[in-house]
Amino acid sequence: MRPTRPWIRRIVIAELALIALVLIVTGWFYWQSRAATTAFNGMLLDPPQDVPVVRLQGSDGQAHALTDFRGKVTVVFFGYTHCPDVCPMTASTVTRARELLGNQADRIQFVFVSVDPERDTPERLASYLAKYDSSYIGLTGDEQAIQELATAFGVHYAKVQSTSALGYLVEHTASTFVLDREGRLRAVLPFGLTPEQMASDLRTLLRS
Amino acid sequence: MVRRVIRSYRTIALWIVATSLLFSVACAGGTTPTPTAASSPTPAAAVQPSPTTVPSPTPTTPPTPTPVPTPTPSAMHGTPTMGHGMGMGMATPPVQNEFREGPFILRNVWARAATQADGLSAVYMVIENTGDQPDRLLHAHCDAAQTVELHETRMEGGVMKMQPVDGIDVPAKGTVELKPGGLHVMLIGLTRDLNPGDTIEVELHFEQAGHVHVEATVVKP
Repeated sequence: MRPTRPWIRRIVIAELALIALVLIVTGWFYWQSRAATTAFNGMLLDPPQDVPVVRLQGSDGQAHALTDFRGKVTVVFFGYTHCPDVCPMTASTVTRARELLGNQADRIQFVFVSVDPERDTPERLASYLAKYDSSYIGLTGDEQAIQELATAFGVHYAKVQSTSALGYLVEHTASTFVLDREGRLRAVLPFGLTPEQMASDLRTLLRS
Repeated sequence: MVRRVIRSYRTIALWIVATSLLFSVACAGGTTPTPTAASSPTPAAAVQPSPTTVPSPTPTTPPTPTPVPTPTPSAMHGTPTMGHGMGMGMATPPVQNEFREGPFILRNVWARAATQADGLSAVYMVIENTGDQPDRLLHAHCDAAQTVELHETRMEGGVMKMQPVDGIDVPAKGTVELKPGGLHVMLIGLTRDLNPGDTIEVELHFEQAGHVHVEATVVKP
């Protein structure tokens, strides 16, 4: 009986050490996975998705498809100029995020696709976007073409009649989409990111 | 004696096996995508139905607004508080001012810059009711807009919905925040350009307290 005792002790010590090691390793993994989720604020699409080539009227007077902006990281938002709250907020978040990117800002193109082509003329979009940055492009035009593009992005929009003096309102998906430099859908950013969060995501996408 | 030696070898062997096992697990874990890691090829993204480039048979919008690449709930920052405005975009209020009238303290009153051609803007503020009586903001008036309405933006499944509201309740000893993505005073039919730095007169009509006058500072959009 006696000679086995140190063995039991040693095994117990070994087991304890093993448990500690397992705890450390799992803890490290947990921390790692948390670090990874906080690294990107939006949702990355892997592999990136192709988007259809839909030509619309640009606020700069030229026809554009989203694929025209290849070579830049393109930030796409579907909204309308009679939207006084969410759309300007997104536009200003993008603007501040670009400011945070400093000299890399030129590598980011913001495109605002109208979901209210009835009221949003290219001229109206131009003056609406000029408040933020002269490089921003608004797209409007044929209702069916816009619908096709929106569907490809999984964007829902619908006219809603209201008692407001605005007449009808348009409800729409408030997410922001990011196309990579090859013009493919690479990330979806939820509404409400801070400029810092958006800038961090854009920086990641500029690197990849 | 011999037995001891053999057993101590066994312990060492057990250690080696255990550590190598852990290492292999660690290596495997490092290379295989963890479901939560956003930067690795995520199964979550794979499970997500890809945005259909196939034209839908009906051009009309599907009744259920399920944006295909909906951000995961964990990525939806501020979702739980979206009902009454999200604390986002602006960590700090863009304007710091304060107006006191009756039981009310109105703080950080600001409006978004817009041109007369845009025709629209919105006013945001923090309304604090220091009184013992609950009150209700019924409507507002502004010298720079033909029509002023109270609106609320709500998020439903990633879809932004805006609607006029009849009034905004301000509980006794309570605070209501009007902020982007939530409640706001909407200016419709601007009668002049609202340039950053301008101030506009806003009159708020409360059910109990009556008229409360504030000045909103116009902020760069």
